[in-house]
Amino acid sequence: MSPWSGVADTLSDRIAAWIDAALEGSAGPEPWEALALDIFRYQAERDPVLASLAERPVTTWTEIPAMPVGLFKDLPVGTVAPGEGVVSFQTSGTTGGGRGVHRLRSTALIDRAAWGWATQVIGEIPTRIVALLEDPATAPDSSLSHMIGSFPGTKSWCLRSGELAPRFDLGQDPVFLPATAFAAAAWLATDPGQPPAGSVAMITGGFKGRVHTLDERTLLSALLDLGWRVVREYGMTELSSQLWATESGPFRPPPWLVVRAADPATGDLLPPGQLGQLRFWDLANLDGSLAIETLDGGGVEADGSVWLHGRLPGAAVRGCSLTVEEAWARRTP
Amino acid sequence: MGPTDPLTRWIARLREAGPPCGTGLSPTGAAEAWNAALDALDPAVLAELGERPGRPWRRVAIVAARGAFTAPIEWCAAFLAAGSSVGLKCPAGDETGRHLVGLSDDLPFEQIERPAVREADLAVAMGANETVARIAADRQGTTLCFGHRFSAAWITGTPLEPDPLLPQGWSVDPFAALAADLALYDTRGCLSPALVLTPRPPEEIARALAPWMAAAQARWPRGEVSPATHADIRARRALARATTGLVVDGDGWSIFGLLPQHVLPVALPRVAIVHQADLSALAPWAPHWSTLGVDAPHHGVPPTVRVCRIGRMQRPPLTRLHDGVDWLAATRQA
Repeated sequence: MSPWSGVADTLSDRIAAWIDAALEGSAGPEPWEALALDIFRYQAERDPVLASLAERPVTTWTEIPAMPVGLFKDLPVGTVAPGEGVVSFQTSGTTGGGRGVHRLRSTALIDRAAWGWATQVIGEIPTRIVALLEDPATAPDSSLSHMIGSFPGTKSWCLRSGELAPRFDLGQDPVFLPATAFAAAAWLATDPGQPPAGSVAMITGGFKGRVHTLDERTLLSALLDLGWRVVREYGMTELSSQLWATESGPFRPPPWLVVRAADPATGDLLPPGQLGQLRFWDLANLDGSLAIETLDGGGVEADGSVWLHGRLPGAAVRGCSLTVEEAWARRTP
Repeated sequence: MGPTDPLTRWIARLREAGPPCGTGLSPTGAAEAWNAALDALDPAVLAELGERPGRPWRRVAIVAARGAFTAPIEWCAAFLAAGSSVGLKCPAGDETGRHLVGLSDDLPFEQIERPAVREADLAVAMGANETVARIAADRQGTTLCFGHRFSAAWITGTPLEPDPLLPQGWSVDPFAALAADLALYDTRGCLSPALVLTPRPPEEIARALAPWMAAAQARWPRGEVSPATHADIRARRALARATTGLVVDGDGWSIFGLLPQHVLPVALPRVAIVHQADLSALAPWAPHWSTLGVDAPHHGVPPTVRVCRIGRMQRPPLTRLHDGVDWLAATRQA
């Protein structure tokens, strides 16, 4: 039985059909924009936060307002009220004390798409998974753990309460090692040996919101030197779909997810290739907000591929006053 | 101190030269901030520092924060007046150190790097909390640490007496004085009003403040705003739109109304964030609270907070507690 009802049930069927067609390499069964606009109308009727952001009637997908990720901390965003959802994914809180919440009635659309798109971009990956992540059974609010948990294969989880398990064996057979950048860096500091041949390491996130960012190149080089094939993933708690990349290429969004760079000052969308503030329009985000405005900078090529440049620049010119991250972090009860 | 005194000559040269390059402010904004900082250097107070009991520190290191280009001036002036040799360390690529030291040829004043900070008898460290803590941990001697802070305004709309420190026409109307405080340094520093608390409906505050925000922009145009800060402004605007609906945008300035539960003391350039709330809303951040600018009686302010009339938030006198520290007393050893 569908977790959705009424309009949402119909929309979920249309989205699923779109995802299935895209994963088969076919054109979507209906225009992407028509479905995006219908999802937006459904969401705006049920989410007063989203409705308030539409300054004029929305007639094209570019006019669909993008929800700033910070609002997930401040307000209940989406069509699922607190307490109603089956799943509540929460942001890590690395950008400060508050944690944003993405409530869902179901993860069916996420689960339908994640593995298929990942393997289309990065190729086959081993089904023996050793994850430097929290076990989704003990961390049900982690969207990243949930995604890896939805992948086929055997899994072991090597992060507990933020700490790496003291010892774990990679074994003899090829292994898939998904990890945040920070967990991977901590693991590399334990001087691990070479991985089994054919093994793949996946590095994701872990840089945003950190005052002292790791040098991503150094991290990837260390893994390559050990003999890993390295792939990269970009996802957000507030999204339902992920972008994937090889070790050095751009990130590729799935066809149902459109990415654009915007001018942070005006909000205007920028032409392909220009650097700006990244926005995502994710058809799979049925319960949350179709369009998301991130705090990340990057550029989007004409073919839709994305170059990430980390957090938007400029915090340094704030002088001696508190930053947003500091203000959240220093709030006392 | 007289006109032939080296310190007096240095201050005169600073005034004549104007601010350094690369402040990020508009030329008129930088000039206003520069002159405000120099105006605060009261000759009588500086002269008295050299006569206080105790010995001056032999070598003092001042570590300045990026983006706070006038902050080192008063510190350097005070320690030089007290009889110390002063070394100034500025962030890489920051022109402030070269500018200040380059105009001081007859003072015991130089630019320094990290080893000299370590060896100084006293260090004054300004910047992010983690940075100043690292500086202190790297030294044997005394370090005065001044981490990131915030300030706020308490506005009721009560007219004020004229204030000679403010430009003519900007001191009697509390909304003019508030706009001047928001405009100075583009709301960048820790003495800028990160938020406005008021007992009145925020719509009334916005109506009275908007013309003065526009006038301030015309007089002291806003300077550079980074992409990250633009994104922060957009997020706060969205929050205002989704909650109170109070969003007033002008050319280079904005006024947002937010609910008390969304108080977050983060200053955004030329953005007045108005909450109908009393000062207890700031209690969760009390240890990081620097200054309160007011136009009327108030209560509930921690004793370490500097309280001043609105319009003077970013024009502090030398004689004050700085983040709760009697900083002028610190210029001499016991």
